[in-house]
Amino acid sequence: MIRRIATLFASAALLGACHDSPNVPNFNAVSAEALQGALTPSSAQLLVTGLLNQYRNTAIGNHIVFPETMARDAVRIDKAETRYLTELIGPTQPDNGAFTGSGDFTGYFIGIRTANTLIDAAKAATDASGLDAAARSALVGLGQTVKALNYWNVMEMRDSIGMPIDLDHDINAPPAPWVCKQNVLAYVSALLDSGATALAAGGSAFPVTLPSGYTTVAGTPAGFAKFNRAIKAKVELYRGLSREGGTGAAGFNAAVAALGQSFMQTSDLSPSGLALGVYENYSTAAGETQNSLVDAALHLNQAVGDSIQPGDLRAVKIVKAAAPYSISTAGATVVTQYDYEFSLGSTSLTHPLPIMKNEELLLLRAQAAIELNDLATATQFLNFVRVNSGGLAPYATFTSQAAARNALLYEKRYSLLMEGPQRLLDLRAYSRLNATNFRPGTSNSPFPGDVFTSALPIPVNEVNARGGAPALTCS
Amino acid sequence: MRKFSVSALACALLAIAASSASAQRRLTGRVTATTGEPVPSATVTVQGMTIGATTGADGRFTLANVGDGSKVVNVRRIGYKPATITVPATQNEVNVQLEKDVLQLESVVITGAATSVSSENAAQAITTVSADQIEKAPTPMLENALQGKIPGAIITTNSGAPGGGSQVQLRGTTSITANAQPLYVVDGVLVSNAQVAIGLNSVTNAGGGINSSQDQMANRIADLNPDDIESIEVLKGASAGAIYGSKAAAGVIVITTKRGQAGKPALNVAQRLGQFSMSKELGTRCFHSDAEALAWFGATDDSQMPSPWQPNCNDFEKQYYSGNPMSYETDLSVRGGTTGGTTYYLGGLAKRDNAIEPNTYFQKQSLDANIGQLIGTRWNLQVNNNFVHSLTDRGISGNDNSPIVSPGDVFSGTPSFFNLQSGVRNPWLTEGTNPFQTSQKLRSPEEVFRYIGGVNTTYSAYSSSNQSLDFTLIGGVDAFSDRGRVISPADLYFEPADGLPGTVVLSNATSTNANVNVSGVDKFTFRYGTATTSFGLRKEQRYFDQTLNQARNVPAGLENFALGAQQASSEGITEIKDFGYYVQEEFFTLQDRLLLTAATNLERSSVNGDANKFYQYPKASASYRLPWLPKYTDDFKIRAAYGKAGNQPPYGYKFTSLVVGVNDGLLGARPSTTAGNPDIRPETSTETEGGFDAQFLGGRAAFSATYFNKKVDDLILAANVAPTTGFTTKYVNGGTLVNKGVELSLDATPLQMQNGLQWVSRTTFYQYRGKVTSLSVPPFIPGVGSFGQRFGSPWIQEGFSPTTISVVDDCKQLTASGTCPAANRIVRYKESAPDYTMGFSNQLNWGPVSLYGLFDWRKGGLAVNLTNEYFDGTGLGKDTLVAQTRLKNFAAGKAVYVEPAGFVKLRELTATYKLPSRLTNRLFSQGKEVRLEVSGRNLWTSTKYTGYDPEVSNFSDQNVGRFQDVTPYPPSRSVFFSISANF
Repeated sequence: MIRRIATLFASAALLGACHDSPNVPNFNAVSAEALQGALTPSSAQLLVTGLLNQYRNTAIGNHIVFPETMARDAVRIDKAETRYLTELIGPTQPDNGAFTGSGDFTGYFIGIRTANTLIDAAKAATDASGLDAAARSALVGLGQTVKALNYWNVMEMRDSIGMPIDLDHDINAPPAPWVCKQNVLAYVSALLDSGATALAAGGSAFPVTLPSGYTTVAGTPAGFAKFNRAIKAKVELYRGLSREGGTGAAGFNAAVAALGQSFMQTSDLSPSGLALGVYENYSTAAGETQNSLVDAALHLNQAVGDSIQPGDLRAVKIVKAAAPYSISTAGATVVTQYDYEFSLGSTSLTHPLPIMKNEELLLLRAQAAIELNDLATATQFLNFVRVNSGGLAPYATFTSQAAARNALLYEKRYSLLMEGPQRLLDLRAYSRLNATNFRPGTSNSPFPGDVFTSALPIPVNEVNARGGAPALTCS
Repeated sequence: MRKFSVSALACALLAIAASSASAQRRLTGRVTATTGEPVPSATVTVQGMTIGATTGADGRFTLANVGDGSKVVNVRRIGYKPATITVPATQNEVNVQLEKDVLQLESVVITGAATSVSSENAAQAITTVSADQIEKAPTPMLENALQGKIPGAIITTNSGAPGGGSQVQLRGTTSITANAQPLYVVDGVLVSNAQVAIGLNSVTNAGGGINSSQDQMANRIADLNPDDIESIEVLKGASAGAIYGSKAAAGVIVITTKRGQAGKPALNVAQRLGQFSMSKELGTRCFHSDAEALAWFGATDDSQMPSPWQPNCNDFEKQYYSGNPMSYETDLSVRGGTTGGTTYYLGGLAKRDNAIEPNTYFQKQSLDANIGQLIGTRWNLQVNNNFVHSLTDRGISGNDNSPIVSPGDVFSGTPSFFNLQSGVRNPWLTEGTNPFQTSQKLRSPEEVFRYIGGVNTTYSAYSSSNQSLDFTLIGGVDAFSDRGRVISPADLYFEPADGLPGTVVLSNATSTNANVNVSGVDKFTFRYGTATTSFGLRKEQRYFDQTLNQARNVPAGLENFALGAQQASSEGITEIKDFGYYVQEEFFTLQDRLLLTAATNLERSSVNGDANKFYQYPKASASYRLPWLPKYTDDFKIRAAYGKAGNQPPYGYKFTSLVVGVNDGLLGARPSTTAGNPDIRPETSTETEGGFDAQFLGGRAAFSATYFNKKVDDLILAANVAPTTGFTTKYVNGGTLVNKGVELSLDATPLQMQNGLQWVSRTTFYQYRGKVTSLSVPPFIPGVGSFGQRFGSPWIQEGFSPTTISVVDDCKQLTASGTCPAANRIVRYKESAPDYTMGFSNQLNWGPVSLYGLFDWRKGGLAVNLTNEYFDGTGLGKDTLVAQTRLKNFAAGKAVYVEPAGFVKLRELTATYKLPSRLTNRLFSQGKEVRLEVSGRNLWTSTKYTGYDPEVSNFSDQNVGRFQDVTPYPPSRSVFFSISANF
């Protein structure tokens, strides 16, 4: 009896095991397998959009707020998060374990990995998968250009701290060597050249649709190459200015040459002509990204509003509030009465931000001329901006590089206000990020015993994953 | 194959009947207490035989087929000391008297899915908490009723917000990334203890996305009604819980609800009325003159300040956290039934806790209907049904980013001379937030409808004088819908700050757990003892789905998310399927002194990398009650147990996915920053424990000591990857941690006077040390949420405790101005877990009066008090000198916000008065009881901690790093007056 029951029970147990499949799929995300196999026009579209969307989500927010705070243009008065002040301009300095010191970093490496995925897959694609040689080359060129842009953005904030280059490896590969600034910039420059070459062989049209912010200038491989050259010019200019292994005149000349091949133009200096460029567009539609500079806590430093020259049309970017904003933190009080034009308001959520615009290219041309001591050209290009963007009387031809640099810093500050780390880069390059220019204990720099931070450190997760701070490789 | 379901086959088995033995000698009798009243539900067994009976309401029992000769009869009942009586061959009638077990040393503890053993013989240190102990003082949540009562458990409340949010940790941290909460089993049904984030993060922006772990979530065990519970057994680890396989590594809490019992309907009514009040205030800085205010702000005249100085000192905390209406609770239960027929328990509850923050509350209605039915003589059916409705609004508190909305955050930035209470716009914050306005307009109700129901049926397939075979089917479901809606109307001062005035978030979560367990138990008695073989299979399925719809730019007055101009939504699904077999052998021998158990459990789960692979979880244990006892010793048992249990990888850890996004209307995808692991395995917890239980002085004292060693291998880690790889995280099985500890308990009746004065005392002690003994990845800060090592972060490193705080606490070289640059900081490591915990409960009974108190002492431990940082920065804290010193030391790189978190709390204090029977007899009829009670919870706390409450966790329940204090919902004390009656 018992044996019979036990036998029956055992059969039931076995049946129970076979009853149902134990596998449950991933309900919450697209599997990574969707991108495996040969690149097709549709998977290329998915990756290109993913790459550009990743860039849009990364090169904003803290990529603007951090450097503009460090450059004393912005103050983020947020009682719940005082580290925007205490660490970025205050005495404690950015903590590499907190959002400040570890910020504006990881997103670029996600971009680099996405770009590598695109470049590798495009190289491996065939005519049979629907992408001909020109289309593949166009995709490689686009990938390399955006990849270079990601490297450049890391260097903007990490500067002499350097970064790794050799990143196209498996997740479990040993960490890539940490490379010094001059080597990284040389690599970025070469990568941009390689991208330009690939774009030149990219035929007349991309096999994918680009976001509308790109299409005015960079909608075709040829147009994208002009965007590539614009970035190249910026990289070369700062290579020339670099305090670590700076290339000097060679860099400035390379910048001038690249600008000549870029979309820089002086024929139309109307507001739309100056604004010509490659933009990130934002949208409030479902799944889209909004402009994160819409932030009630974000204000402009008192000095930004106080220092603008009377009659400067760029004053529209600066809004004077009815009452001052203030915060007491770390034993000091920060007060300002100025807002950035679209730090408030729902319409601003879709306000586009330039990645690169003609106005900046003109200023880069002026800057290269200053550094090459071609003050006539410098004055000419500075005035293109000053007269047309600022509505101010033109400068007389400068007689000294120092005077021209002062003018350049003024024009750049108001032309590119809250558009990126340009001012931090200039203050750093010209050694102006110090107490001589920003007096401690004033509204410029409210913290007594101020420390001037010019770059962000290596994030603690990176240090820990490498078992300590990496040694700097410099060949 | 598909045609056969497990349950169908089990039912088929039940139809196979065995023949019954012929009637022989019958033994009848009556069990009474020493005080005279009949004892129902006592178990009467005959030693060396499998037959047994349960007493009815009149205390009567009948045992058939007893057999000839002298027999030894054992009688047991929870709450009474067991009795053993020898019945001579000629006697067929026996009366047994049971002595009350005031120390509650006697209970039955489970050993398997369908087997249990008397605690007298148990080989593991299983703590049983009876209904009596649960109901000592009205509790907001079940977990609160366990605080201070279980050696081996650390139970912490995450904040003072109503509606729950507590974490139970048994024998240390058992996982870094995977689940570290005990499994809850209610009457055989595996119930969900999920935490649902309803979308408050859309208002506070404390974390990223629509939902966040900073949503001050409540864990859903809050739905259970403590008054419906008969007993709670706490299986603290693998040695006791191995039978629950891959869900038992963090322990198992087995809850048995009240059952019906034969007899006339017994009605129990209790009405409670009470009040919650703030138990600690941080205080505020008063400004005594205009000059003081100007100096504080750095202004020269009042016009430069957002609002001029006034000669007021508004105590925002007192004004805000007060004035809530009375709370109430009504309990009603009926139990009864007929012997050999139907028994029933019906329990009802309606309660509402009005918490200290305006318009925050927790209300619950629950109905429990447990029906038992004997079908024929062989088939026993028990059906349990629990319906719960709960509704809670927890308001806003805790961390916020932008805008500032958390009341504590607002108070830390508003000088006390400004009057917030009027509800005007707050000029001291850009966003203008005024909590007095927020609490009137913002609503965040979370409503749960839940059903927990199960069937437990046993069929006695065969029984003879020396052998029996029973089949048991336990199956049930736990299903709930959790509906949250955050309505933050556009006319709140802070709402326009994000450019999109008005926020509505709708959260819809459904959870369904179903499990079935079919087992057979064969009990065979032979010359040398009793061998019990059990075997069975288990099948479980858990499904959870939450959708969140967020709308911003919603006109004031509208609550429908579809009416918002800007929309976002998300959905998260979890589905897990488990299947397992087990077999267990128990051998009871040497006059019931030696108990040997061995079992193994084979289990597979859909969440494992290889969903078809079975993992094995064995256990073995032995206990022996010494036959030779020293003087004054009644019983002495030594015990040892070993077991393995698993801990499943969370759903989705085996997948690597793509992150999709929309750019300009085009769909894009990029590789995720998290690398899944297709080979992920469950964590394996191996536990050995040993100890002894002793009873002295005729049951006046009992002492129990247990040492445990819990080792967790294959730790699932969300390991940090160098961000330069483009990944941030990868899931690996890579590490081992070990928790070793000691649990002691001493129960005693120091006083037992002839005049009825009685003092019952219970002391528990628990100490453990955790250590990560190996780690295959570099040391890391787990991604559970922290605010950086400047303040204090969790830290996982080989050789360190998993509860380590890593914090900057020194400086290599200060600057001239006395600050420490980031590069010069020195990180130090500190232990956040307490050194030890103790519980002291004492009860004095004297006639109709009894007084009960429970102290919970946590020695040592640390918490990170970021609330102080908020007040220090603004200079608005009560003690400005202390704040300035702290700021100076903080700038110099000192860990000033890491504070000692030890405490002594008077958890429960209850005074009870039983109305004299003279009076109750006159008012009602004979044998009724009416009790009046005043009880308080958390009435008194002693701590060095300067914040509200050292028991705090900004990120709700989490395995490590649960020590962050960011302007939380302040804790409260409660006082309730109750009247209860038994009819």
